[in-house]
Amino acid sequence: MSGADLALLGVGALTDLLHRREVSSEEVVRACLARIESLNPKLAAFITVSTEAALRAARRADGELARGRSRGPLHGVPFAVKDALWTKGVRTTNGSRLFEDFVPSEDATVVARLRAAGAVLLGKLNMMELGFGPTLRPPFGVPRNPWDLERTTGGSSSGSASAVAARLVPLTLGADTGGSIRLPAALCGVVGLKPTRGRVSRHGLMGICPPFDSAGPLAASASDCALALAAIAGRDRKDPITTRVAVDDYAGAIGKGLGGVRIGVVRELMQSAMLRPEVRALVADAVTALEKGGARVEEVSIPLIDHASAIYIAIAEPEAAARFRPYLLTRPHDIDVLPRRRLLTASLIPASVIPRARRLGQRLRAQVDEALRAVDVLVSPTTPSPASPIATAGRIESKEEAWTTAAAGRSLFTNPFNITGHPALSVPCGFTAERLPAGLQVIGRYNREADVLRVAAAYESITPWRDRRPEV
Amino acid sequence: MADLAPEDVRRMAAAIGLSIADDDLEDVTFRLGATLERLAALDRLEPRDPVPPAILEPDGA
Repeated sequence: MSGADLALLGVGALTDLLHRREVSSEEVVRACLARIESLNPKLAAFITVSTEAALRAARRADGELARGRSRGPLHGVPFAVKDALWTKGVRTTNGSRLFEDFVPSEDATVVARLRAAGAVLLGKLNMMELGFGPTLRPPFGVPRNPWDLERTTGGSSSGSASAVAARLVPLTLGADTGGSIRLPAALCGVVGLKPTRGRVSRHGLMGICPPFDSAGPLAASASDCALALAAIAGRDRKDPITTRVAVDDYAGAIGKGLGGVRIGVVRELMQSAMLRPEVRALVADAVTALEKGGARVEEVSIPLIDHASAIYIAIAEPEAAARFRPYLLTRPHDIDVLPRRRLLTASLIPASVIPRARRLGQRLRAQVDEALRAVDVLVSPTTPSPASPIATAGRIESKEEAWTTAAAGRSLFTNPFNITGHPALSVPCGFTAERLPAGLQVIGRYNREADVLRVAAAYESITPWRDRRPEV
Repeated sequence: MADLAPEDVRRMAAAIGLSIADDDLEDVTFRLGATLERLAALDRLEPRDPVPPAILEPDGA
């Protein structure tokens, strides 16, 4: 197998080759680095590439394997992380000039756990500024969609999705507050998982709204995400909301098929006026495929979900405004025009809306829990439309445009499950007439990531989308 | 709900110590107006409590 081909393999295939000692971690890392050097100028997926440190880590991993010591399935496998996650000794910019010189003195817990599992950090990935996108003029380059370089990747975990899609690296970590793992996963044609609130530590994550923030994996397949989740999930005393619930056997859930699985299609999201007809058709086809694959499918209703975006904004935006207020006061012009305007707006939301929004969020959670009593998972589109052209002007010219494009439009199918905390994943479900990917969102009960991964993997096995990749 | 004027928004921001540049003002005005309209709709989703809260006198009467 050529070095170039190694970079195209997923985590599962690399695990086999590494543990049979047919390839070395150093060979795999060099293949990825070569591909990054070749394609990153076009894609701007990476902000920082840690070449020498990655090669040293790869050689250590090879040495351990040579002595018969494996740390697990991720041993020697390259990964990269959103530049919102601390990495010890490696600058962590949060996609912003505000933090361009910030070098953390410790790893985020999720990074530390992947390293402890033997995975090799290649570098830091581009993102929408402060995780509060979109960004008109990203300070570290414009992230481009590998399926069409004139289109956005979505975000805010832009590079986390595009790097996997373009096979620069087989595994990445992103962070999701309103959809920031799932949205770019859908628009770039990869799998992205937001775990249950409290399943994965937020320690070292430069987030926006702590009650909604979560780190999670992106990869080319559900099984690769399962391997990553097993490494990063679990109690962390540095993040008090992490749960003591035992970490499930996620890899064991892969390959169980759809027999006996009950799936609820969320009516309000499938009927949304914002949903592009061709994306609706692709999701409907996905539901048909799931049914033919052995699942029992029914429609479910979550009435409050139509108000989820307003609930989300009432809670999340003031959190972000409070977090970044010192920078709005002292360095407003070091913040890109779009997140700056969004933060200024968020600063003016009256605090009196927050308690009502929190109560409605609890009611929304109860409705989702109720829907999940009769079924094992819910499904919906991940995004209302495929990747849009990269914006060249940031002007908003009406209140209607302000809501649909700047606020609710992007994340209206994903943010409900940040409010409620349920695990949610996006898996590719086909391509539009313009050959752009679309995503199917799968949502599970609390701490039932295994069910979500099982359904996503089963869907992948009966459809051709997992094996499609862009010619960059 | 009455539409916000840009100068309303500028004064609101100034009241909390923020200044809004001229280039940002119209955009922020549209965004804030849209947001407040959608948030007002949340008021109708909670039932009004028909029983007003009891008010205790300081001496417990």
